[in-house]
Amino acid sequence: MDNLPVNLEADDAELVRLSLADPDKFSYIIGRYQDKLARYIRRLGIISSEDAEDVLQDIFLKVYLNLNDFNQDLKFSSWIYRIAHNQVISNFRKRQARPEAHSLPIDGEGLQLLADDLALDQQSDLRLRQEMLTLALDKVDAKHREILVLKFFEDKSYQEISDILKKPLGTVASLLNRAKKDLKSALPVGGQF
Amino acid sequence: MSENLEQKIIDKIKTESLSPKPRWHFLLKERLVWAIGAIALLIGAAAVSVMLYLANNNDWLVYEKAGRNFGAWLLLSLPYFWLVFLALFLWLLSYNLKHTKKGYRYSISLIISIAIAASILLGIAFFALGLGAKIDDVLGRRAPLYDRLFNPHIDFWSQPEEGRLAGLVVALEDEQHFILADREHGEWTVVHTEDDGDLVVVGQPVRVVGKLSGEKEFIAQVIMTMKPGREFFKRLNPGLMPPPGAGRGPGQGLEAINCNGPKSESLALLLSESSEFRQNFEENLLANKEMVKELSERDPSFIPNLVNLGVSPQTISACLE
Repeated sequence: MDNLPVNLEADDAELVRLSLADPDKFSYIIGRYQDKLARYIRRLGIISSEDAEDVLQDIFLKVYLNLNDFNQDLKFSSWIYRIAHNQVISNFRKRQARPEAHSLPIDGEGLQLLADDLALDQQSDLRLRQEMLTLALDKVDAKHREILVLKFFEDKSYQEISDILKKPLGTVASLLNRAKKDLKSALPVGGQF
Repeated sequence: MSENLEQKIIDKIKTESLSPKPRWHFLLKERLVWAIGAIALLIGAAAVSVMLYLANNNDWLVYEKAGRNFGAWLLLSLPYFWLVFLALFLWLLSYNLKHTKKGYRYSISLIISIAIAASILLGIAFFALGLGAKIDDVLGRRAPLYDRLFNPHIDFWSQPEEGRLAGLVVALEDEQHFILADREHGEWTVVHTEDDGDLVVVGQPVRVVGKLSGEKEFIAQVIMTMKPGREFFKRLNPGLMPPPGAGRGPGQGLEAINCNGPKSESLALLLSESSEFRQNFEENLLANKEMVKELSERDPSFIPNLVNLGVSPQTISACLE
């Protein structure tokens, strides 16, 4: 996944310090997070590669300009995901576009986690189950989809989701419950295949 | 995704000479949010202290004796202005708390509860220190529409037909009669018992419960001091009050300067005792220069009387220019 030099196992906070001292070192942060954020913004609904690249560039520039705002009260990954999330929303607002859910890439692991959580029928064909879930994800509200993406596809904890979306933990929990109900009701035949 | 995105970003940073915003930029933003929140808390607490002051001097017992019910009293005496004012600053405080670095971690209901609790606690402290009374005094002295906006009790006490009168004691006619100026600059002769003598002091506002006994006569049953609104009534300037039987208007009031008797003595006493009263009096003279000139032409003793009252020579000269 990441092709960082072997000797650069510095933690994120150390990479921030290095980047503040030398802009060239910022490339290590880009290298560490480029692929993850690229998948994340695609899952949020940025379809084309060109758009994704533009948005990703904007995200990393914003991260660079705001490096001095990072402090260790928060995980760096939560902080950078927060910037990415806000940049994607801002991009949609500027283009007055809605998130294109059908760009959600098929991600077997994430879909399996989701299926397990929703206690879907395990006897049906795996691929069919995943396709149905992907179609159902198309239909749910954007706010619900974004929290499902963070929980099941980005594997974020409740605290991390709270920090990324800047919502209280209780709100995250109830939002996730509503999102799962919304998804279940969007599945064919009441959730059964 | 192009493989040289990383390089593109680094190149853009270098060619556009981009640099991270300085730390103080973020610290300043954070401090500003807290500062605005603190100011909102202080102002909200000040509003609470005024409401406590008004409530502490409420007139429920009087209202009850007048046969009115609690609901009607509450509707009339709630300090609507202060409640709206407090709500506004509670919103501002909550907004700022929510927008601190970690504010998002707390639910809005918790934030609002904290804002309310903090405003009330600090408001109680301010009230105990006398801030509520001071704010009411300052507004009473200076704020336009004080009686309509800031203090709902003034209206309640300006209903002589219902047996309630409030105003400034402007003269003592004898041990059982005094002259009261109400908020419309009307004069009342109030009849009272000698027991109330301590409360009836020229230049002090009072509230009177009693009944009408003539067009401008009132028989007092109970006389009480005025607390909220006392400075509002002190704005009334008896120097410009029309003598009994005369019409309204500042000009006619100036003739009181040449009257003998309790009215003139009271005016002299007020002018000597209160510098603020004197300042208001001289400002009113300057605001009515034409009338001053007319009176001085009509009555040669007018200007000497002003001198005897202690009006400054500069004010007299300015009036006669």
